Amino acid sequence: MSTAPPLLEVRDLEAGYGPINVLHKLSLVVNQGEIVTIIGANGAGKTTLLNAICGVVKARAGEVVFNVSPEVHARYGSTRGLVGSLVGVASNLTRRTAGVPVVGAVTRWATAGFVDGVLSVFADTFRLAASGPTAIHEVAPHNVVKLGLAQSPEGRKIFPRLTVRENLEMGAFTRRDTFQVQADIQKAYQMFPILGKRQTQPGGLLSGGEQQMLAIARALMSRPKLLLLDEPSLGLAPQIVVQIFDVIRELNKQGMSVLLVEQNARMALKVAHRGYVLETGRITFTDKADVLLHDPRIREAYLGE
Amino acid sequence: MVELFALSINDVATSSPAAGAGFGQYLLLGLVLGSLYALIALGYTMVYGIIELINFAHGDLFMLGSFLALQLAVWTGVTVAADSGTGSIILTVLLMLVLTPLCCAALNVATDRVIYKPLRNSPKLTVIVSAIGVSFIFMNLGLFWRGATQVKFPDLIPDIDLIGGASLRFTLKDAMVIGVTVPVMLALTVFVKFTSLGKAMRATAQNPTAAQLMGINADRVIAATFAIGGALAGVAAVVYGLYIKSVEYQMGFQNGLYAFTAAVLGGIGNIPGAVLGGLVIGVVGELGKAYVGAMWSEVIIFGILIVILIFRPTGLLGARTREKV
Repeated sequence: MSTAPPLLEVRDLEAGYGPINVLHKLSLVVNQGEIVTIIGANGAGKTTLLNAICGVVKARAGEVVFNVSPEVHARYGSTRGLVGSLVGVASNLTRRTAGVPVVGAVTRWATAGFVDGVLSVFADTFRLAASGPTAIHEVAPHNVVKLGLAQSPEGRKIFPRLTVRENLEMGAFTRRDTFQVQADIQKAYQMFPILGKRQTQPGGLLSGGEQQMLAIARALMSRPKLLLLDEPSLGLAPQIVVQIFDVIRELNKQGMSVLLVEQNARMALKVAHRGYVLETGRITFTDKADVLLHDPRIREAYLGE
Repeated sequence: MVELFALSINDVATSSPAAGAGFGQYLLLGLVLGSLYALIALGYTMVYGIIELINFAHGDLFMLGSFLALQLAVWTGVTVAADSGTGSIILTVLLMLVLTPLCCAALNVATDRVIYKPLRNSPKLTVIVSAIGVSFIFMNLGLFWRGATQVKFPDLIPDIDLIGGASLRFTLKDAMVIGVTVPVMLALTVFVKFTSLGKAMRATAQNPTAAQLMGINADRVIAATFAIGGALAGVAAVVYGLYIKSVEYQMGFQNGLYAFTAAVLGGIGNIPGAVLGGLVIGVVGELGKAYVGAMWSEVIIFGILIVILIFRPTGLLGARTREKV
């Protein structure tokens, strides 16, 4: 094992909905350059886990730590201009007045309401203190993607009445390098030529396989360091599944780290380096993917043998 | 309530063309009023599209906007066109057209922040009832500000006939309404279609979770939506005051109801639909008034609404049933 800190580390994570806890003290690690897969049955908590990592579902306990690269820190590290200094002053005031009963509450309200709300209409108020391991369970969900972590969600969740091209542009929403974004859209069309042919069509008119390709391409548009894929094979014809897994392998060859959640355990374990088995919110096995692939218990429970 | 409607019809009738006017004249009046309904309807439909809230206070925001425009005229001293130079009239109208939308936008965003935002995760009905509450607060603010009677709005735009035809009078006022509303709607279309924030608004309306995963700040999009909706209501308020020349504290209720109907008719949540719905309601209302009778105009409007909703429950252009997760 390398000594570098892992790209993503989940420690004792608990998350759920209402009175129900779905994840129970769940821990896992994704290293730089790895494809890690999480296999498990329906309702095991796979999607909840990905959503908790992205902050869409709030973590109730535990930590999600992401190793932020220096280039990302360079982009969000400094407080620039009027907006930046206003944010600085406001958060400073909030800290200082934290203990004061009424003033503290009013300052907090003004910071949350005015600074983050009103100023963010005009400029990006997100700031990063440092590069390196960063607790992302404390980052607002819409800021998580800025750290270099993108998700292709369960059920694809493409924007049905935006065109294919607009869907891709939304994937690059946090980026300001317009020309590079246009170049990346062309790259996406090279990776999935069918998207290029359909670029002016609304996303909702694409077939299931095309929508899955669009969802992956859209996630890649933010230039993530870690790609989270939720059930990319769900409901697709076998040859489309093969095509999508080829793309995942190819992305990984180019250096992308991938956290892959799958019900299609055989496909997932064939492409992954390591795997975790998730059962009712707990990790029950973890090992190298080819070991899991040949483990009789796994073969019986997940590979249908 | 019945009295209220009757009163408002008379308001409009005062600016109606003289007896004996032809079809074209009524159509023009209908289009002019319809484009005002459309501006207000856009505020309903955009907010609904993003957070599925029927913002019942929107019409009353429009009323407060017209009161503010009136107040601006009082402050600049330009209240009677005959006593003021053309330059100061133009300046006052421009001041109204800039400041009123700004203030309405700010008030709308503030209302969202203070009242609707803390209720974002509450049941929909809670938010809608609080919107009705805000509507009453605004209405009573208007009552407190200007009293219960109709107030004359400065008649700053002269009724000069621009084409001089015998059959159709197209006055400077008509030109003003079209000259303001059409560019505003075009600008909105361009904004929503081509800008990054506009696309983010559409994305958030279509799938809020996915939009969040893209890094779109929902609060930012919602604030921008309320700001734009409020600004459009502010523009409509100024144009309405200048055109109808009379405002009162209950005008927000009645015009808001028309505009809301327009939004539903066009397909709530759908931006071109709101414009189409506004124009349809304006034209149908005026033609109904001219050829069937003033008391039947609303019967016809709401009759058409009912018929359309029976055959197209999502409205004329609507196809937006957001998938529930």
